[in-house]
Amino acid sequence: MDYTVSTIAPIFLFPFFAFVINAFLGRKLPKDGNWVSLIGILLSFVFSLRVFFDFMGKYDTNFYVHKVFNWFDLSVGDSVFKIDLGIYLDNMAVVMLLMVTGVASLIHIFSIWYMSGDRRHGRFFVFLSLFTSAMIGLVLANNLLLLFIFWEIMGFCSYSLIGIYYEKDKAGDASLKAFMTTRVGDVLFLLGILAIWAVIGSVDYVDIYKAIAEGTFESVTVMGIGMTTFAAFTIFCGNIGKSAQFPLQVWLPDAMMGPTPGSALIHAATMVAAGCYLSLRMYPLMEAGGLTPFIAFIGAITAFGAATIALVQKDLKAVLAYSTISQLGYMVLGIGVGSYNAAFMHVITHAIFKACLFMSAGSIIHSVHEQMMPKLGGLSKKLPITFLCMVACTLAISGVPFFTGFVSKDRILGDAIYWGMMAGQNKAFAIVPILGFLGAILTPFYMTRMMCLIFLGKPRDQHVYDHCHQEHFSLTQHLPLVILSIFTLGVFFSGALIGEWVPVFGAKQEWFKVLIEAPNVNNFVDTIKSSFGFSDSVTSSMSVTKATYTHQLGYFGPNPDEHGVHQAHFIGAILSIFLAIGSIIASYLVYVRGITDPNKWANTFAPVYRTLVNKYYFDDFYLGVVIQKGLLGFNKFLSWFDMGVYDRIFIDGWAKVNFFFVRLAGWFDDKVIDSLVDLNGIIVKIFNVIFRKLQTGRIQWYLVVMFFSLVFINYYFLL
Amino acid sequence: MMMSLASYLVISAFLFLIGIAVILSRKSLIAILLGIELILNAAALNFVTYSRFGSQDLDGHIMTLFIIVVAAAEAAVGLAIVIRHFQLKETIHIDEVSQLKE
Amino acid sequence: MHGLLNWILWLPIIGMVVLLCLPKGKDQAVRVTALVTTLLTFLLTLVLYMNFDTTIPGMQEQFSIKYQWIKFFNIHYSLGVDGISLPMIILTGLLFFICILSSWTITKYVKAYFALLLMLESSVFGVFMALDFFLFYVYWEVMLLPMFFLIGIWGGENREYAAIKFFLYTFFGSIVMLVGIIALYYATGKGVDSFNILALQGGHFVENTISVFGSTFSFERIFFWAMFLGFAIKVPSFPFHTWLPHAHVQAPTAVSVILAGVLLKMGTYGFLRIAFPIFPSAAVEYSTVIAILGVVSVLYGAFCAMAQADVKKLVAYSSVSHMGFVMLGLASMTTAGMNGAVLQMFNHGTSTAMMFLMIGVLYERSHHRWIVRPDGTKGYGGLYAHMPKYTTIFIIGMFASLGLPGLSGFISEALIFLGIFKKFTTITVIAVLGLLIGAAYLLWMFKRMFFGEAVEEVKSYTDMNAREIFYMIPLCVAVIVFGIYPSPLLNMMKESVGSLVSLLGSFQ
Repeated sequence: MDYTVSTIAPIFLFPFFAFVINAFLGRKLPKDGNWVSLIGILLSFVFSLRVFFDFMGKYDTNFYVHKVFNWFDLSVGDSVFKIDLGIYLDNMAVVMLLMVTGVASLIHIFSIWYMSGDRRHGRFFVFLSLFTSAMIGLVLANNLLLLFIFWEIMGFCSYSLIGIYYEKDKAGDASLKAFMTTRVGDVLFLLGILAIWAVIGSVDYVDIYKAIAEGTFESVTVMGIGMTTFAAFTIFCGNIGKSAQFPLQVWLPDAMMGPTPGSALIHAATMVAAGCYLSLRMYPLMEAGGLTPFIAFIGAITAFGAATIALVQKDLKAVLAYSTISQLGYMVLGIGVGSYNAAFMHVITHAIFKACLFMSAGSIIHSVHEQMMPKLGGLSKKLPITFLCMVACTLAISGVPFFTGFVSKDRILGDAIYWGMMAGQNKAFAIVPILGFLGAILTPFYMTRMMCLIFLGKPRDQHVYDHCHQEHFSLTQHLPLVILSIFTLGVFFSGALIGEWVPVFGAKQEWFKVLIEAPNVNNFVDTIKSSFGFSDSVTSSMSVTKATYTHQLGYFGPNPDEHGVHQAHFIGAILSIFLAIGSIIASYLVYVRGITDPNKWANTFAPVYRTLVNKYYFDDFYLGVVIQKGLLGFNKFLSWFDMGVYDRIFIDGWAKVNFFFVRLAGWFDDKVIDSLVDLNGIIVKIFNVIFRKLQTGRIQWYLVVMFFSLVFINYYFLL
Repeated sequence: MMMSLASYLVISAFLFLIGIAVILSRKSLIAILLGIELILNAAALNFVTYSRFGSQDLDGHIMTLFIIVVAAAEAAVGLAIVIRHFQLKETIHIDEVSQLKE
Repeated sequence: MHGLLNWILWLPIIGMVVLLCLPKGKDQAVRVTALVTTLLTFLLTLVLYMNFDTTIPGMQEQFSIKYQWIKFFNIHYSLGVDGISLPMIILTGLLFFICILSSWTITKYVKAYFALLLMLESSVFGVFMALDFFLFYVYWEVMLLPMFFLIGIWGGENREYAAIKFFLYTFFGSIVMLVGIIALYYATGKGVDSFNILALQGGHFVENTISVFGSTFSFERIFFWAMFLGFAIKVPSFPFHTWLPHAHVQAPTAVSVILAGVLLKMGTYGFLRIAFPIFPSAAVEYSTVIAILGVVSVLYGAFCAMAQADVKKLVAYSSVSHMGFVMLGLASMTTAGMNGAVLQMFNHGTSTAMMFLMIGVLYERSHHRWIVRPDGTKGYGGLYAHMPKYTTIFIIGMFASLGLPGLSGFISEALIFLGIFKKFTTITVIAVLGLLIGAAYLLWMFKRMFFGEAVEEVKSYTDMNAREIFYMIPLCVAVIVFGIYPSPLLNMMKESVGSLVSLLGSFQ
């Protein structure tokens, strides 16, 4: 297959053109042009399927395609400066691409049902298309700068979709908060890009890998910090912001102000996972920078902390939002402990089940017009299809065997056990797996709590219950849910049940585990970039391996203890199966059978409960202290200083000093110089009195005087 | 017949004195303008005379032409002022033209 | 094509004369005359662009015009254009055309207003085209006159104060510059090229010294700062920026647009054309100082902008912040940074013009500019729902201004940062904060004005009319097109910028 403009570019361009068409013509098209967006993404999905099967068919971990074209060129004479953009596709990218286009297609379909009749219907699809194309662009990007461009455009789409109900003040607050919080990470991410550019003059992935392999960064320091550490840290900050990791997690729950399908696509399935995708892309850098323990800790704290907050939420979308943060924490944790493959798998599996969960939530909200769980209950009879889909997803997220969550999350936890406890590292690292497992206990508990409160038991608010119509299968509403819930089955990823039945991938074992590998930087030493054009032929880029860099694999050392890793995985799997099932049962007993009253517990541990309800007071701290008191206070002070002090005292004051001198000069002129002039005047005045008599105002009198004066003068001087 | 230099000068002096006398004695602005013309003519006559008897070139003649032109211009401006003044004050009596003093 | 620059330079003056000859009371005819003049001028700038050969770096080679003016002092009427001035000339042509359209609703002394605007246009062109230092100075000063009256007569409540402040501030700077011009005249031995900017360039004064009060100083260092001061006031760089908020808040919309869109660029253009190439070694030596002033401007402007309750003042401070980025790019003295700086000059010209025009559109409806009134109530609110077209264009302008990728501001800022990071790492790390605060004050302003329930007053506002949309379109297009495909602009400037960079590089 040729990887040229005609095969790759459509994946990006179809949704982008859909955006352009809808942005200009949307209101004039029938149905606000929602079908344009849908066609765009479906075509894109078809093209990415083709690429996906092509890559998988090669069954080669090291295969990648890298094509560039020039964006602009500032080279003059000898000094070369140009920025190339392009595509970089490897196994990870195509899997991600398929996930993005697939999930996005289903969400587009669902949105047609969910948004029909909504007053922002057209606008929603405009931004959905733009977002999708940006996300696809991000996955295709061959360098960090291009990734950053799409990264920011996605941020803008997220901002617009959160604030889509603009007459609500809260929507404005939430969108502002989302954009600004992520921007904190973005700005640091930009610094990372700049640092890398400053050293190697390029931010292409392959050049970065090559530089790591050749040790180009090693002797370089930035502001006294090692180059790799600096770059890895700043780039990871981008991940923290986008993926709502501690301490920038505050924006994601508020982002649920937007329409639910938008939340499903952006704030659950794709955009937030893009942060983790970035860290995975830059994994060799993270490793070389020694940042992995930091990443693991951030991930563990987020995974556990968000799970605890999810326990006490009353709003069903808020529970899902915190569970998203928590699951993203697991991905980051996975990256930190060197569980590259599982972390990426969790990105994919999470996208699928979380998109399904959010769309189910949308289905519920749209049916009952209520999203506070204390008012719901017993809906399983009225919404059976939604219920079943949601059960599948709950099982998946809880990590029950045969579902995707088990396959991905438990591998992460297994690696965490090995990394934190068995690899003989710092004892404090054990906190990471412990927090991870605590989170894994909480996840099934709050998810089951949510399910019980919505679907099981007796209706808590009869009015709301009666208001809900009995649901019947509808294509746009339920098809996406059903398809996604089918893909929550682990078999599609682990291959454990079907194994050799999937000949397209040439799989003898778990295709995902085999094909997705951390990039081996040594493969990139001798690569040649090929340009991206219409007439380009096949270019695969397998290259000679020059072993100059020891691949560390997340502190497992050069040769991880296979037996130890295996053991750790076994312990992790057993442990989490029991924890998950136990937790589900416990939750069921509490919330359906009522063996104990959760409110009593809340009262008993009132301070803890209050802390959780207030989200550990992060919002209050950021808004009240950092923004209001700190930033705004400082700004007010500076503005007052600028106009009130600097301008008034120094600039206008300088003018006043001048005025003083002006007045002094004026006084001197008036009193001293002018007095002298006046003295002249007095003398003149005396003569004036005399000569005034001569001035009669009669011309002839003057002429007589003149004539006789002349005669006199002539007589006197000439004679 | 060749007239002497002195006779020209005497005529010129008479013209000049008549002009002065007119200017000093008459109270009408128009009469005064006429007096000025006489003075100018006296000067012109002098130029021509000296040109004829002195340097023998055309300088004096040219100067006379200038004087005629200037006199014409002066007469035009002067009459314009007089007419304007008459329109404003309804008088051309010289003693009443004394606004500059007030 | 030979006289093209003359035509561009004098056409506004011709238009002004025609307009002044129109009989009294024909306001519409006056407006149309001004519009046609600026449109023709803009088209001529485009013709200039079409015929411009981007591969030639120097200013002498293309379209140059040179006549003797004052023989005794070797002063010439000498014009030229290169890749740095061409984008500015096109920007000037475009913005004046738009400003005439946006001033359609002016009713006070219509004839004088448009005559002054046209005079301003001509003088701005003069600054960007002059190759003779004296001519440059003349246009630099002539430009003050119409600005003074435009602010002082058509401005807001406090216009006299603002106008005088603007005038004195810039005049102070230009007098210092004049001292520099005269010093150069003597330093070159009053020769044929004493006022020839191109001949002065290239670092001929590295060895020169000057003795002041008995002590000897380097000629370059002293007069680099003289020039620097003159231009830095115009930019305006911290700490010479305080005239800007006053002038902007008081000036009528079109004048704000010109002020922010074009006049501020004259300061940085002065660096590029005069201060840097004439005194390259001093420029290289003091690049750190320039960078520090730049970064302080970026942050100081951004922080001050955030505290403003008056939306126009907010945008005025944002100009200080954005021009700080240009200073940073200039200080980098690298290909990327310098090109980024010139690009930022153009991009800031379009995006900030959009912001000021949009504020002007709103002001015509509301007659106030409070985001939050002094008594703490909302000045606006819910504009999003009531003025959808307005909001859409506002969003484009705002996001271009805060540097969203895909819109023009991003590329120039990214280029500046790429250029400067290696040389001034710490400064870059601090300056990047400016991007964060920049997003914060704009979006916060947007949130307070556009989101939420509409206040009673807002409900009566009408959305933008056809004329208003018409003059916003070219700017929207520029912002989006150059955000995606900046090559036309970059190709135009890269040779000229490249020769400057290599000149500075030889003194590093």
